[in-house]
Amino acid sequence: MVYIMGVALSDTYPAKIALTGIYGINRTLARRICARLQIHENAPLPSLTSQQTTALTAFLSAPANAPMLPKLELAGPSFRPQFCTNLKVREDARQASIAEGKQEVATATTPAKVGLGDQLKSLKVETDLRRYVRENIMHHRLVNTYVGRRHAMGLPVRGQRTSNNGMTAKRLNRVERKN
Amino acid sequence: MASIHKRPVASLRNITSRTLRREFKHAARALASVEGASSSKDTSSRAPAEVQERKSTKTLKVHPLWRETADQSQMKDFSTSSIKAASVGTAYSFSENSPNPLRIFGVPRSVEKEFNFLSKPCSVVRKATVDLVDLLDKSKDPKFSPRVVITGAPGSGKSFLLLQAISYCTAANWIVLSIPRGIELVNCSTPYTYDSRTQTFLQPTLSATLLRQLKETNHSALTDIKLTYPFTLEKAPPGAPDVGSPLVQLIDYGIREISVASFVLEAVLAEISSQTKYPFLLAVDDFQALYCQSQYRSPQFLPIEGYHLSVPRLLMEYASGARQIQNGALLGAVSLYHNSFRVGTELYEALNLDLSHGKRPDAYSKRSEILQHYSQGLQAFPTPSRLDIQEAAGIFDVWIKDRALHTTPSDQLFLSKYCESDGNAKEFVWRGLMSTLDS
Repeated sequence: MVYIMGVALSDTYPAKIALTGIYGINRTLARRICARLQIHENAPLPSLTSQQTTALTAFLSAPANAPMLPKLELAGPSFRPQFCTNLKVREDARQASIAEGKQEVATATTPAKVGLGDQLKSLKVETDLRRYVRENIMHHRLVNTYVGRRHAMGLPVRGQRTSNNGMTAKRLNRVERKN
Repeated sequence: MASIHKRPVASLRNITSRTLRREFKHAARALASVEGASSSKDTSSRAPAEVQERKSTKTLKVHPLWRETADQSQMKDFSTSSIKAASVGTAYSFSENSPNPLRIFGVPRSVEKEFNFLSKPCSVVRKATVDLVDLLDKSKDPKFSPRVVITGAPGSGKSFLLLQAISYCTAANWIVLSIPRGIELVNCSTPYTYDSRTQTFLQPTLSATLLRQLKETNHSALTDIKLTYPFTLEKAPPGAPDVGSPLVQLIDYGIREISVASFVLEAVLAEISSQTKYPFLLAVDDFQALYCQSQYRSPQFLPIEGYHLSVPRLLMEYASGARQIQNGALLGAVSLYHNSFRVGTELYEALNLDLSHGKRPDAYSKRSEILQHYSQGLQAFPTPSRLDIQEAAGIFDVWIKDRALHTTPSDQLFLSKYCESDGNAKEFVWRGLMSTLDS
């Protein structure tokens, strides 16, 4: 059993599925978190090293404080690293491409394009997320909106029928909502 | 009776198969006691009359399920002399003598399933096998180092052809490095880490696994070959062997220090491919997966291309000729059963494939210059889409001797299954022989 932020994650699933056991993480977010921390997403959870588990816990405790993503440079086919044994880079092809103005083969590196923004910066999980949801409901109640009154009565909020069904709302809707 | 109606039909079927299995075990023990000589407590079987009949006549007069055990004693192992034109249609088994490359490196999944059906892993020599082996024999000339990709329709026998080539090369004392499931290099199943020195994502565990498998082959070349390239990686852990040390020391270093395993793998392959004393075969199944976008993701969640991962990049550099094997060959086989890793446009055009490998790319599909660079110089080796009658008869003979057919073997059964499958090897074996109750 792997414990992250006090949550026991199942050993039978790969990392990208097991992480959804944490409140606030769905499958898409789980994949993004694995990619962010360079954890191979199909890894069986027991195979994660202690460093990877620590990195996960550290990230999920404070996602907003995580360091900025570095701009990774990725090598093109004509890139020759310093440690190199029998690799022969075709200089003639490289020069011909530069002459033609084609940049992809000419440059030694192809800089990776950074995404539109780090979606994981505003991530909330577990206690933070529960507190956020509870505060939203409390705000509705304080300003006396319809939504707040429905939460207080324990009835459906979003316009559902109440003559039949509505059992989930009756069970879960509270001002101090637990789940 | 009322209780039976409550149970679903599937459980009734289970009960019947359990009873059959119990009967089969008893009968198998009875038959084994007949094969042995001394009587044992197992001779008190459920079918004493049948056992008596067997003792006297030893003919096939029992139910097909309880026939004699498989008799493959006459089948010989693959050797250098077994692959010639005269032996087309003859079945040979893959040698179990250690080091067994099939056990060390593994086999593709479809081949593993087929091996589980038969009593011995074996395959039939085809004309294509003879041609491929001739091509490999020519590769001893340093000017001719073939980079060949086995192509063909789905089920035409590409993986088996590759295995036969591996067996031949092992028997001929080549150094063999086989990657039977190329998809495992790119399907995000092993750890990866970015390295700024090479500007690629390293795969340390995968590299260490390949090094360990190479060491397990226990080839004499690993102690005979001496290092010529110095291992000058900056900030490398101590213990790297010097120039002039045996190659096996460098392999041990790479297995021990997993953080530098990717660099060690590159150095080891460079040493093996630079020497000319021992021929080297680099065999990759699921070759097309190297040229696809991998399932790995960068920290920005962008998909990582195959050529930005250390192990696929190394293989593609050998495939494109950027790294050369002085004595030996690179042999790949495409696989057409994985929808996530299909044959890409650039590889399709480089190998000049036909419609059995997928839709022909049109003029509007984008071609990546990088992938075109990595697929230049590859030579296609087309597998015939149909088995010859002789080859199919060889497979049928293996199944008869294995007592693996569900029904009585006959020429009519053989010809009908051969025609129904149109000579396609996989269809002939899986749908024709394995799944039929026709007689």
